[in-house]
Amino acid sequence: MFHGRSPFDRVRAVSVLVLVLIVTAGLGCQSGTRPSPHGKMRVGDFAGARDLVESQVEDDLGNRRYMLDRMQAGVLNLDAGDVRQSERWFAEVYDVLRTQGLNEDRTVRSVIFTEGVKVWKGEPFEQAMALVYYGFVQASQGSWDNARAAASNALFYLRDFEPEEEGKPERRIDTQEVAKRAAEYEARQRGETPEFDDGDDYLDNGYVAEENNFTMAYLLHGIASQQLGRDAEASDYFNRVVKLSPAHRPLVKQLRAGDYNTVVVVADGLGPRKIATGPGNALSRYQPIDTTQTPAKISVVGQSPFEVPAVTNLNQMALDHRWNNLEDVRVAKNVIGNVLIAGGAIVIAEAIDEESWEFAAIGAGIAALGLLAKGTAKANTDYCDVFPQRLFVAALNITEPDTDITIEMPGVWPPGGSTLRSLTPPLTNQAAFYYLRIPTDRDLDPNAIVDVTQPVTEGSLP
Amino acid sequence: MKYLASAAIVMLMVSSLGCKTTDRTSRIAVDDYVEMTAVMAQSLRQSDAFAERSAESEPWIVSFDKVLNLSSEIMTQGEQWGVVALVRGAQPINSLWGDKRVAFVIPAQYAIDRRGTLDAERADKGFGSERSVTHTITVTFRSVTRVAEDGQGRTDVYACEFQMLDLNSNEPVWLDVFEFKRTATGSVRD
Repeated sequence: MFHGRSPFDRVRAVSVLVLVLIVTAGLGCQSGTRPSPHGKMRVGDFAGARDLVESQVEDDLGNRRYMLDRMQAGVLNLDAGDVRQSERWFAEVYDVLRTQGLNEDRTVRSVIFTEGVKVWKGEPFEQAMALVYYGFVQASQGSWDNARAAASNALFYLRDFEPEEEGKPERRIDTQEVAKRAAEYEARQRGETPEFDDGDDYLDNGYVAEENNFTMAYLLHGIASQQLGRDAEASDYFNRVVKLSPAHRPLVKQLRAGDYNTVVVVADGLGPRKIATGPGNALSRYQPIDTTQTPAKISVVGQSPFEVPAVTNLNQMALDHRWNNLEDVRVAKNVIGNVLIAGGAIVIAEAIDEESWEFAAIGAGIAALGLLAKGTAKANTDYCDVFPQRLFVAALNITEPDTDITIEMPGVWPPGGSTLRSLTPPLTNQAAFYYLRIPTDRDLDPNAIVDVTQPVTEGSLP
Repeated sequence: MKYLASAAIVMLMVSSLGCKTTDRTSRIAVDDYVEMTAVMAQSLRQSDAFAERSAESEPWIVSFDKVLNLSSEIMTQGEQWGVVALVRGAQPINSLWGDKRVAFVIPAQYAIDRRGTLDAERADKGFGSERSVTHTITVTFRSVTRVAEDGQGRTDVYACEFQMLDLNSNEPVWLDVFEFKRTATGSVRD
């Protein structure tokens, strides 16, 4: 290529190669970082964190951050006590989640170049968490029917969509099966003898179709079903909660007995961060930020304090439900990249020995392709960084107006904790729902009080 | 040869016209409700409760009393009552006043809420008080979801159940269920 050409041609060709190398190396770089809301969240300034995120929201549906921004804004608005604004953001998140094939025309680009060109829809556990949060928003407004639908959706998005492997035992039941079991249950309720195809050894009433370990979603579904008067359905979901977390047996017993009129969900800590790791940073994994394991201590004025264990730990969820469909491609690209770079280096070395500019150019080209493959093999680490590490649920009986509830983390959280102030007994026969996000700064002033906006307990509709 | 090529092009164009557009979501669309109102009006006219009624009958004022969402679809309260407003305002439903003397209204409190706080404060005491509601309607949404094994398609079948109750007798006078099916293609999870 360079043999027999002028020195000017050689310099120009080498310049082009260098430019290609710089450009390809740049492809692997992450886009510019944004200020993190974590600092404000750690000191309990959830409104400030919300404002920070909302000031950067992307409005172009084609932008990778469109849904990520909305998910963060939805969570932080609920943290800040603005239920209505949270609902607006989550409604848009839900719209995107319910739109299928959004990344279909981007798949080729994402495989050849980088995952960053795809619209971010989150890992399955992030989608499920967003839907459970949407459920919290609905329950806060007294819409237990929508809380039920949200919990149902959360379980849906953790479903395994991969085709069944050969020889793997069938472990899913479809909606027809659910309907059949429900019909059989209702037949039994009417005193009729239902016909069973496969024995009457059902453990439940047939309402729980999807099985995973997202206890919070099962619990929310159970409570919501109970609030709608669907006791058999609630019972199935409560069964699942106890099966997943025997430590919650006392809570479930209380719920089954209907011995509560208020549900409190407490969010604590920061969920795990997503990092690139492994060869060529081609793999991604979630790394815990907070690792607290202690239970939450709930104190209601005039009642004995009690402890509740965490219902959901996001550190665990991130490990269980991580979605990595592009990981194989990224690893392959990284390996190919290494081979190409090594091959290119060998060709260049031999070309220098033989003083052949043509071979040198070919070697440089091979190495450049290798760098391109390696550069784009880096895992994308966008993730929803405002989810809590853990969620707690307490069922309470509020009988007096202006009741304060204090939540402490024994051994970790300084005495004083955070307080839900001036709760009142619900005005309807449905339970009230409150959500409280606890600041994550373990050295924060122990007397810090977090005020939350009073939820709409009776709904604004007749 | 030239004619064969032309014929092939025309056939291709015609066949592409026949292709159904690919839906990306299986959520209920406004068009579904619009179609439903026509069927619903027909169902009401053919019901026993409406059969004897005429333009000279004593008016019935039917208020949408409650919306319950038992589907897997999250429908905010605003969306739920938006559907009710759409049904109530549809021409086939409105036409029932002309020949059956049946009017459908939305709850006073809902209308007040929709106007905003300031209006609500001014209107709260009197709005809707002149109505004498004779019947109520409850609306219940249900759904069944089916997903392709590989997660590349989803179908939702929705059932929208209406039940009309006579407030004098406390007996249901009309009940019907309207179903629509929505299918979407593409990866469910992307």
